[in-house]
Amino acid sequence: MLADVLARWRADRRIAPNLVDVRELPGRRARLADVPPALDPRLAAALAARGIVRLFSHQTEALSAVAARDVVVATPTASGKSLCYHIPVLDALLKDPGARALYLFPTKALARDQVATLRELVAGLGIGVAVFDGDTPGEHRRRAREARVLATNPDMLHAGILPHHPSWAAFFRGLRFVVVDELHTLRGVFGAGAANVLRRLRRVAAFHGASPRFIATSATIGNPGELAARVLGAGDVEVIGDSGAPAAPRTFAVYNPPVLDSALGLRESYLAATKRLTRDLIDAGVGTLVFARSRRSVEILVRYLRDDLDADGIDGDEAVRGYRGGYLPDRRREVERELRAGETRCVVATSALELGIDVGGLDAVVLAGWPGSRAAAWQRAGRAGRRGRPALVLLVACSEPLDQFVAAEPEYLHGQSPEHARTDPDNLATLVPHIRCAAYELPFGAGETFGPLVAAETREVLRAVPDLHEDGGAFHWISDAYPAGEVPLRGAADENFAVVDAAAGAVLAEVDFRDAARQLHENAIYPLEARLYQVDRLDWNGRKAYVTAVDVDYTTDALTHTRVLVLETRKEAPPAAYGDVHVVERVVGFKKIKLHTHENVGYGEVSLPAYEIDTRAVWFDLDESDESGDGLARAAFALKHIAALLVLCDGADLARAVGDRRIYLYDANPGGSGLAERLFEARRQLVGHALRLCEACACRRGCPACVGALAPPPPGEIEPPRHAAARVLRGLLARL
Amino acid sequence: MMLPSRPNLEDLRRRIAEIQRRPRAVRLDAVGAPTEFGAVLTHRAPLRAPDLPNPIVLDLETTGLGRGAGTLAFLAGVGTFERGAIVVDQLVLASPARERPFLAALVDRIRDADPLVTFNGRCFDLPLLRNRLCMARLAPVAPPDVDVRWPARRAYRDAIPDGRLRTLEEFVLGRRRADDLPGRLAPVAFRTFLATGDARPLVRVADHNRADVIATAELCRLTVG
Repeated sequence: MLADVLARWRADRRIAPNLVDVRELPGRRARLADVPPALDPRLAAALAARGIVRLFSHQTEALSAVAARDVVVATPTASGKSLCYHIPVLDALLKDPGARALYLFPTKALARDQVATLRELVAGLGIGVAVFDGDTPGEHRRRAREARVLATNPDMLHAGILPHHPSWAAFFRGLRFVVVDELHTLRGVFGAGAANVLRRLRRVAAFHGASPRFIATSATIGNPGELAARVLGAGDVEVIGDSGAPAAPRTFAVYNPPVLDSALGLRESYLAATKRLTRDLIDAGVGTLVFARSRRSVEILVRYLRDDLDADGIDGDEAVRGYRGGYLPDRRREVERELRAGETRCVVATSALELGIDVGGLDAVVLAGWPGSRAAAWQRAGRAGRRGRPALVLLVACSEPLDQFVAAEPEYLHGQSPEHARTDPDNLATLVPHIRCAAYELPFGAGETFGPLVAAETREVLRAVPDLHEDGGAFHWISDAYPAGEVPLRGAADENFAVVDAAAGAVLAEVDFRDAARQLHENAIYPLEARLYQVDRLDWNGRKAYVTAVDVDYTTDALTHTRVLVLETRKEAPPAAYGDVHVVERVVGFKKIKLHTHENVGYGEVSLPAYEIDTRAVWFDLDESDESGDGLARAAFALKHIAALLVLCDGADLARAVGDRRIYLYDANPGGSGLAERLFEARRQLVGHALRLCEACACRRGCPACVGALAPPPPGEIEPPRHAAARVLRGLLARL
Repeated sequence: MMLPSRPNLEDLRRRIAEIQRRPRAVRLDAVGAPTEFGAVLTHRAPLRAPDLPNPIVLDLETTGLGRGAGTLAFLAGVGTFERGAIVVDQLVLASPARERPFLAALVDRIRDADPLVTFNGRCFDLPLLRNRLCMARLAPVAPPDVDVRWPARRAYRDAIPDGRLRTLEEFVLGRRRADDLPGRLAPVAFRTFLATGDARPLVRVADHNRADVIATAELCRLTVG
């Protein structure tokens, strides 16, 4: 029982002191409203057949709001957000047999899951629902055009539907609603791309005589209305943020692993702590979902837990499952099914399981490490609690600055959301390729505008892009190129790499292009379902890595060399500036890290093509007197982590580099997503906070919570790295 | 700002430069009868008509092989039969901006076909035409149609290495085209014409298209009726 585990933890002197914050979040009673009498009686009957005789207050609010304007619903996970759009959409579809709706989900898995639920709801209503994505077999594609509700993703809309809109003429002519689910995922570069796809959608719909209403749902972020206005391109958006759904009472605990070595600021490994606490939950029969921050951590945790259970004579393979992107779809479906059926005791997952995939509720959710943002933390926490039973959310902090900040300031988790999702659809690097795509879809008429551009600017862009012919002020596509195929929506998302079993020839997993050099270089150890594979050969052009299962006691960690070239300075306030940069990241080698102890047990060299992006950066020029080899890199470490907190982005969205007496913080997303400019504006705060972080840390020489993990001191070290970083930052702050 | 570079643009520029160096550019209205949308080229050749009520042969030349909204037809070859001859009218588009009258003229010529005869039209020309009519806000046209590609392939499967029109023409009709414009260069020819106003590249496309129309008509008579 969950209560027993909590009681035991509170009584255990090795655990209780590390539970730095424990809050009881009261359950909430439902606020209900009657089904509006104007609702189509067939829909009311279908809802009643599923036990829905009254609606939550936010669902009826959404229904009346969409009559007048576009709507974004930002209520917690599992509050019945989907019905906020299903009800108005189905009502309209039942009343008008020509009406159609387009549902956009950020991932294919989510689309399939939601469609399965929707099909149950519309059974007997005579409303055809279809999924159209890269996995839709050829013979179903034509039939999808007849669907009344079409579920797809922004990528497919971009490259598979809009460029072929004449074939979808009947669909677009009837298009009454566009639903954008999980709107908060449309931020950064993906958000900018998706926003431009929606601009193109509005343009194509207008051609076919339709002007659809937009309904979006979002996690609870700080600016759902602003994000919706930007991404949906809507002038007038109503935000519905007050949930009428009931909530189970939850205990929200933060566990900060104990300091083992105060001199080094070393804490117990958060993965080891996660393993211990999760083991307690498994032993008590509590259904537990562990969210790890990376695919790698998933693999490591699955292995730790299974080893631990096996050692006690329990079948670890049976009790613990892994779930992450890169697993083949069948395997993921199987885990989802087991979760729904309550067959598995513990699943360790990445964010792949975070996005609204319906797996029912669990008794406990363990967050192994800060998930990167408050919205993600609550999204994952929303998995805890089934049918009103008390539930547990446990955050296990790691020794990184963001985690330590949250452990010290739990108010940050529970107060008003300070997180603002940002995206910049007007960024020219994103806008121009989409103008090409739009020109392919429909000629640009004389005086036509696109996005933020006025007619003259639009004309200037159209004159500059290839493949168009101008006649009488209009621009026509005249080439055999297919621009949507050249424009990836999710940044530089080249094709995935396949991880292939060298002996059996079977594809074991897929790895994103961006991560390929880091994870699949030759001799890399690639963990999968707690087994370790070594990369024998990487076929870069063929996008394949051939691997063999090995029995070793280490994993590998890639060493990356980064070079930054400033292309254009946009704003300057010496010694700080921000602007456009070209970044070349190259994996030059790797470290071998021993499992469990994390000792460094060897090195290797790697030679692979570089990963190059054009993006935006903020940079700081240092005085000659500030310069000290290591201090610069150490100061950059502290700056990067404070920056992630200041702009409330995922740590992975920002990267740092040093060179030529300069520290760069750059947006890791090609084209940039608005982070660098905000960091430039907050530069004094940024440097000041980083300086305090370095000055105040309790460690002696420097630690992962301030300036990063250190090698043992060289003989005769004069200035510890932490002090060097503080000196650099102090010098910088004085000149800002 | 980085724009995608496209290799055949270089090719196009080279061709344009080449043509501009030559003297004697030819205007479109000098190669065919001028019309609202461009020009019509007409040729007549002795040929027995297929034994069908009102056969009309159609073959489109397009700016690409894709079937998306950005592919347009710039030349339409229409073959009709009279007194032991085929008359091939070729509608040539002078600018994408005049597509609507071009399509309207084309629809007028094929509306009463019984059947409309194509080679691979089921997969390419007819869906493309449907798209273009939609884009131009013209009503769709759907006369009965025969796609010769499949009966021809069935009839000569054992005699030919592949089912392409050129191959059938060579093995079945015993004709080999000299100096035929490779089909993949048709889009380049149209772009060159738009960029330079010189209609000579289009004349080569028209020659190619006419040969396709006639070969399709003959295969139709041999394999369908």
